[in-house]
This record gives sequence, structure tokens and C-alpha cells, in this order.
Amino acid sequence: MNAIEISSLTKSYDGFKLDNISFNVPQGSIMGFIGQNGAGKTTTIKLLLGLIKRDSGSIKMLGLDNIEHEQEVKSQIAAVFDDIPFHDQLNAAQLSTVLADVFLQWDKAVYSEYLDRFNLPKKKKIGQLSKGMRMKLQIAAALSHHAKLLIMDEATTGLDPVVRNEILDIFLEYLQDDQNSILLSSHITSDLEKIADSVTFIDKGKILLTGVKDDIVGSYGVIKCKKSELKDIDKKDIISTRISDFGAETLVADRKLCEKKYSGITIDGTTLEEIMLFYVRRDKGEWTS
Amino acid sequence: MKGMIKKEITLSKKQMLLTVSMFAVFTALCILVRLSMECGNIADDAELRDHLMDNLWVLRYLPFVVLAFSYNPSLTLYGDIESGFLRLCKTTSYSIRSLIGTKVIMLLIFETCVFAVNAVYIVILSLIGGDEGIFSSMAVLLKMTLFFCAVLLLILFFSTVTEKKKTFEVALTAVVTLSGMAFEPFLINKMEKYSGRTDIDVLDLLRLELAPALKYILPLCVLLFISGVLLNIFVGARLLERRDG
Repeated sequence: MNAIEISSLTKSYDGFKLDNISFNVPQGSIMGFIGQNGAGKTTTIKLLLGLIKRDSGSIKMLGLDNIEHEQEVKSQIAAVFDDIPFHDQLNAAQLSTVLADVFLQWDKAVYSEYLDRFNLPKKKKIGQLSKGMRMKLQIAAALSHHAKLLIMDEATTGLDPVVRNEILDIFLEYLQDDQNSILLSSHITSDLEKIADSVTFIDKGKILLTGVKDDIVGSYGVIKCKKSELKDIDKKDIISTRISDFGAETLVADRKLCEKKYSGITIDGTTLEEIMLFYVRRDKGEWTS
Repeated sequence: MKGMIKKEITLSKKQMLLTVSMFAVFTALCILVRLSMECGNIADDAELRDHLMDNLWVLRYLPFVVLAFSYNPSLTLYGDIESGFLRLCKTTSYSIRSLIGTKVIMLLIFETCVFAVNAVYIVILSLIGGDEGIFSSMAVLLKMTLFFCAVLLLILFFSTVTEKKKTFEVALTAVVTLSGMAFEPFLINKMEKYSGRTDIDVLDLLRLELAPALKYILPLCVLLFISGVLLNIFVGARLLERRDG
């Protein structure tokens, strides 16, 4: 079963179009949703959360249409935003009382455990907390009402590596229950490299890649060669090429095939960041770093 | 609802503390003046003492005037929007109608408390001889409370329509300006007509003159109040719930 099923989803704004996108998030897994700023990640998440109207297409969350079964769906999900959605004047203890009204299955004990675990002060006003603490508080709140699906929009952006790692570990712990799933939008690909099971890459409102992370990373490769050797590579195999003083680097989608096709040329493994970088500049063909 | 009411109180705490302090200072001043009238400097000046006694009625609605503004649901709504809390609520199964309903209930509880404090004040003033018309004062207080609640509820409704803080300021300025424009010619006219009389006499004369119109004030306040509640619960909440774009 899929925790999220997006099919032919379209949404147009003035100057931007989310163009007929489709992807699934399998239950019990964490999907990284990557793309540069303005690629359409936040629009997709807003559509998932029912914050904006879709033009066409369908969204199923936990097997239910997110608009037709809005209340049922919303009672089982948790959203985490890039900035904390709580009033600065409240403290963590007061927040618990407020959220007990908001979430049907609010678990005060679990929330209290997370506060202790994250070393979050209970009586300090939210406005006086650091960015990392605020994010941890938001995540503590999101994990304290037994949500089956976490939807996070740039939740780790702006945090230092120590806090980010701490949060990523919490996500992995949350996924120990195979009923739970996470959609994590981020442009910090190293985080996703570490924890994501699958990845969806969006650019200019279109899905470029979606699938199991290890398959994607494993299938792509970077050919490292001299500029003069570029002419020997079939243009159909090339996503884009980075030219530097030391030579050329070309991203290819099928590493194994290219290894057979271009014997004698070095093809290295790649990372999500490189795949994103080469794809984003695919229109240019060749680019300099 | 307990948590949401606590949130409303926490968000308005600063304003509430400020107005309660102002009220305490005013009350302390009044007590000092009253003590002075009995056994201080003013006791020796019969003319000043009588004048102050005649004008003690001015204080009848002091608690209402000072305290009624302490809780403003439009400003807490703005806080909900600005902090992102409203957006968070939209991603949960918590209904926006409950969010608005809490603000309406909180306003009613708060203004009822202000009414009760003011009612006690009126009784105390009448006991110390400042005013004998307890029941008429209570009736005026009730109308003022209903009218004030209605105005705040209507401003809350306009705030939900625009989702902007400025709505409150614009609406308040508009209400004050329009009221001023409507009443100014009337008041100037009456002041000229009754010039030379004491304030309390002028008020009594005005009350007599306006008696036929005054009987509509209570039903009008009730109507405005009910409209305010219904508009917020059934229309305002729906507007806030709507999806953008």
C-alpha cells in the first residue's frame, strides 16, 4: 500500500505550473522530495495538505482522497513547516494544552518525553528559543499525536549538522513502525542520501525522477574525460556536461550501459546532489562550474 | 476548548495586565479623592465637595471604559495568522469554526466579567452617594456591553474576510469617525440649547428628549450582537477555511 499516491496532479499559478505530476510514497518508507527553490516542492505539499485547490489530478493519502475524506486524512497526518507555526508568547508546556484541543489523539506523555529528549525548556517562551530548538519543538509536536504520515517542507533547512543528525535519527526511529511514512522535502540532498528510501526529483514543475534512491544513485554515473573526448559520447546518453580547467564531467543515466559502450573511459558513481545539479542545467548542455 | 481559551488569555495577557493596572490606579485615585472629601482637604471646601459629589456619576462606567478593550479577538486572530497557527490548524482535523467559536466564547466570558466588575462598581458608587439610579445604570451598562461585543464581533468578522491586522484599526477609526460625524451636529445643537445648565441636568434633559428613540437601542444592540455571533460562526469560519488559489 502507498501512503501517498499522486496522479496527474496539475496546478497553475501566474508564471508557474505544476505540470501533470505523478508519484507514490510507499507505506513504511521515507521519500525525499528534492528540487531547487521554486521547483514546485512547496506547491505540491500545499496541495497534499489541502491548503490550496488543485486544478486537476488526484491525491490519495493513506488510501483516501485528501479532499473527499479530508477530516479522516487530516486526523492521521502531521505537517512540519520550515518555520514554527506556534505563537512566540506561548511556552512548550502551554503549547501542549493548546495542541490537546487541536489534535484528536494528542499524547501529553509522548510530548513530554520528546521535550526531555530534545532538552527543550518547558517554561521558556517559544519566541526566545533558537532556530534549532524551535524546529525540534515542532517535530516533537508533530510526533506526539500518533500520526501515520509526516509531511515535511524544508524541515531541516537552516539547522546545524548536529541538530540535523539528531532529527534524522528521530525520523528513522519513527519509521520503525512500518505503518508510518515520511515525505521529506529538502534541497539538502546529503540528508536524504542518509535516510531516504526513495527519492522524487522535481524541476520547473515537472517530475524528472522518481524511484528507489539506491537504484537511482546506482544507475547514474559521471564520465570523467578530456574535453576532446566528449565528441565520442553519444548525445542521447548525456544529461549535461560540466566543463572545468581539468577536463569534462558528463552525467549519464545508464552507467552500466555506458561502461560497455565506452570502454576505456572512467565512469564514477554519483550522488543525489550531482544528479540534481546536472539535471537542473540540462537545458544548457555544457556548463562551467 | 480549555487549551484554546488559555491560548487566547496568554496572547492577550499583556493588554489585560495593562488595563487592569490602569483600572487599579484610577480606582485608587478615586478612593483617595473620596477619602479627601470625607476627612481631607476637600472636606473643608464645601463648594468643591458638592461639585465633586454631583459629578461622581462620571465614574459609573469607568471599569467598562478601561477594561472592555483588554480582549480583542481580532488581534488574537491576527496572531494566529501571523504565527502560522491558522495554517497548522488547516492541516489538522480541528475545525476553524471551533477556533473562531472559542474567540466568540472568550469575548462573551470576558465582557461578562467586565460587566460584573462594573455592576459592583455601580452599587458601591450608589452606596457612597454618588448615584441613586442603580437599575437605570445597569440597563445602560448592559446596552453598552452588548453594543461593544457586537462591534468587536463585527470587526472580527471583517478581519476574517481580509485576514489582515489593519482591518481592526481601520474599522475602529471608521466607527469612531462616523459616530463623531453623526453625533457632532446633534451634540453641538443640544449643548447650545442647554447652555448654562449642569452636565447632569443636560443629560437628564437629553434622556427625556431621546426617550422615544432610546427604546430601540436595546433591541438594536441585541440584533447587532446576534448578527455578529452568527456571521463569525457561519460565514467568517467558512471564509478562513477556504483554500487559496
